[in-house]
Amino acid sequence: MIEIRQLRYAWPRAGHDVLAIDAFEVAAGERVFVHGPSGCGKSTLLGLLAGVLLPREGEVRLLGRSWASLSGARRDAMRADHVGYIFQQFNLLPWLDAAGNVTLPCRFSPTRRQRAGDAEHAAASLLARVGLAERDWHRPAAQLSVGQQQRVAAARALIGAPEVVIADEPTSALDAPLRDAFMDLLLGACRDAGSALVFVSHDERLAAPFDRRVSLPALNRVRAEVPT
Amino acid sequence: MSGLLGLAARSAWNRRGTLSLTVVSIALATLLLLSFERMRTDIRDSFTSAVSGTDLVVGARTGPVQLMLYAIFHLGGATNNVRMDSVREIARHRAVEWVVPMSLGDSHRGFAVLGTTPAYFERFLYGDRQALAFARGRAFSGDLDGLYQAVVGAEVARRLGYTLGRQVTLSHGSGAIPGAEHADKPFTVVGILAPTGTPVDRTVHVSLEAIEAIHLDWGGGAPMPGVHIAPEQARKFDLAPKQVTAALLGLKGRVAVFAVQRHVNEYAGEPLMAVLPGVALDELWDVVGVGERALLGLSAMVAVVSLAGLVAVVLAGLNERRRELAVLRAVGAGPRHVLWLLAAEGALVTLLGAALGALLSVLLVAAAGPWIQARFGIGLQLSAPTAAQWGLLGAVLAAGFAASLVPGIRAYRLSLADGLSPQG
Repeated sequence: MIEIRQLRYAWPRAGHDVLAIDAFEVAAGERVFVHGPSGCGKSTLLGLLAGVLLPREGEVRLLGRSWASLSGARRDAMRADHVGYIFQQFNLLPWLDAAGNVTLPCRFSPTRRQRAGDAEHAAASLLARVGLAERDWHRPAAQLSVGQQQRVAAARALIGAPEVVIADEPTSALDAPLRDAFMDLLLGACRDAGSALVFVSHDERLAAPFDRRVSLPALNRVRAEVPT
Repeated sequence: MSGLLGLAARSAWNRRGTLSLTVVSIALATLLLLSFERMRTDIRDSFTSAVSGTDLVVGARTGPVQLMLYAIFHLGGATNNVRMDSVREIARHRAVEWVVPMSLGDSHRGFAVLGTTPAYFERFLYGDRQALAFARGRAFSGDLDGLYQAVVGAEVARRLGYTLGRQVTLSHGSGAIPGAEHADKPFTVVGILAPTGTPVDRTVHVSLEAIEAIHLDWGGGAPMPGVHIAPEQARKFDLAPKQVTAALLGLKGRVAVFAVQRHVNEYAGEPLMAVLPGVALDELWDVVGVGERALLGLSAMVAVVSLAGLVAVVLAGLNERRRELAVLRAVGAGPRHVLWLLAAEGALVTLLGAALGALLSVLLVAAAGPWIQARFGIGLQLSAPTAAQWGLLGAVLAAGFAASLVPGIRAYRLSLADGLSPQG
């Protein structure tokens, strides 16, 4: 599903590498927890996995294709078709209702639109799956609580069953009970959709239910003395 | 893309506060540019419309510009006068329909005094062949009963607060010499003209005979010592004018204009000159055109400043959208989608603003036009946009559209990094 080979990455104007990973794979449907302290390059790694950043050396492959071999527009299309993304916060268009936010990827990716079938229906079942009460489906995202917003974001990342879901500290804005509920929902929904999940966090307490946990500082052969 | 249109509309509606500010600022820039341009062209029009319907202006031989300056704008003085006999002689030419003689030289509190015949109020046209109209009262009668009657222009009446029945005295010459007053023969205001936006507004009109009457006991530019002719006695003298300053000529047909001009220029009795007012006004405009060039420069500066403001407003609006664009990029919107969104909105907002500005400028001209005409004598015309105005509208549209594209390109570079990094 995802393969990293001999990756070296340096920020454009930096004189040294921040990431050096010889090998890293994620299998189809696998749920991987990547942890490390702040500034160890977690976001950079996610950028590389999603093809937003390109490595200086080596390659990152998604579904067997190297991001570097694709044009910018093809990378955009590839990402839209096969990757769902959840940010820490501010995932939603505030003026759009929850259901509208969930169906957004179907507007841009024909592949995911096709896989979702009826987008409205798919959104409804995903929103139900992540436990958003039906009365909140048609409220503007700005009126939802942070916990509700993150569940909508999870539903959106999963619509049209992308092969990979990338989550970048999606629970950092949630308190403990909400966080645990969210983790259950996300992992369950990913399993249902058959999507692989790459979840990065500094909070190792979340690692238990994952198939595999990886420490980024251990994986990275550049010693992290420079904050990214 | 049709899916995007709905999103664009809802996003725009969500930001309607900021967007309406942008629309208003574009509208104001447009309004400013169009009004300024309108003003510039109309000032020129006002100038060149100082006289119309007159085919030739006749005076003593001098330059055409000088003749127009004193005959129409009542500025400066004539070096020589025209004998009344010559005027009568020219009036007998078969192509001439009417002649209105004009006698200048005196003033009233800084305003020029024009001695003429009652026919002046019918024959003199200005602008687009508009006739003079009386706001109040009537013309002086032109006979002995009306010897001391005066008709004042709109600005004279407004500035000096004159109403009908007011007694006024005239000054000899430009009024610069103290004591050179025709104080013994006061005039009564019998008519106030409606505003025209021409020098007529700044003129006091009396009959030719009145000019003769007030100068009966004058010689060499001063009252003759020991001679005093009372106003009533003056009526007993022969008041038929011997000399006038200039004359307006109307022809039966425009075709004869060059023939009559030649006839006047070759008049044997004394050296005379006839000029075509339109041609002479254009020539005169070239002389005073420095002012127009200053306005043009000002117009260009207004354009640059308002377009820069427009770009600034559009760019400021983009900051508000960075997160939104990042979300869209993250859910799969390509750069072309983002660019399309920004361009569509930019085009729509600019178009709306420009249309609103154009509408406002029309309303402004319609609402304030008569007031400006009365107050400043500039006749603002409610007409189709000039080529220059279309050009300015096009510049506003292009600048607004370009301004909305520039951030689009910036947004494309930034939005993915924004969205995919946690500091978002």
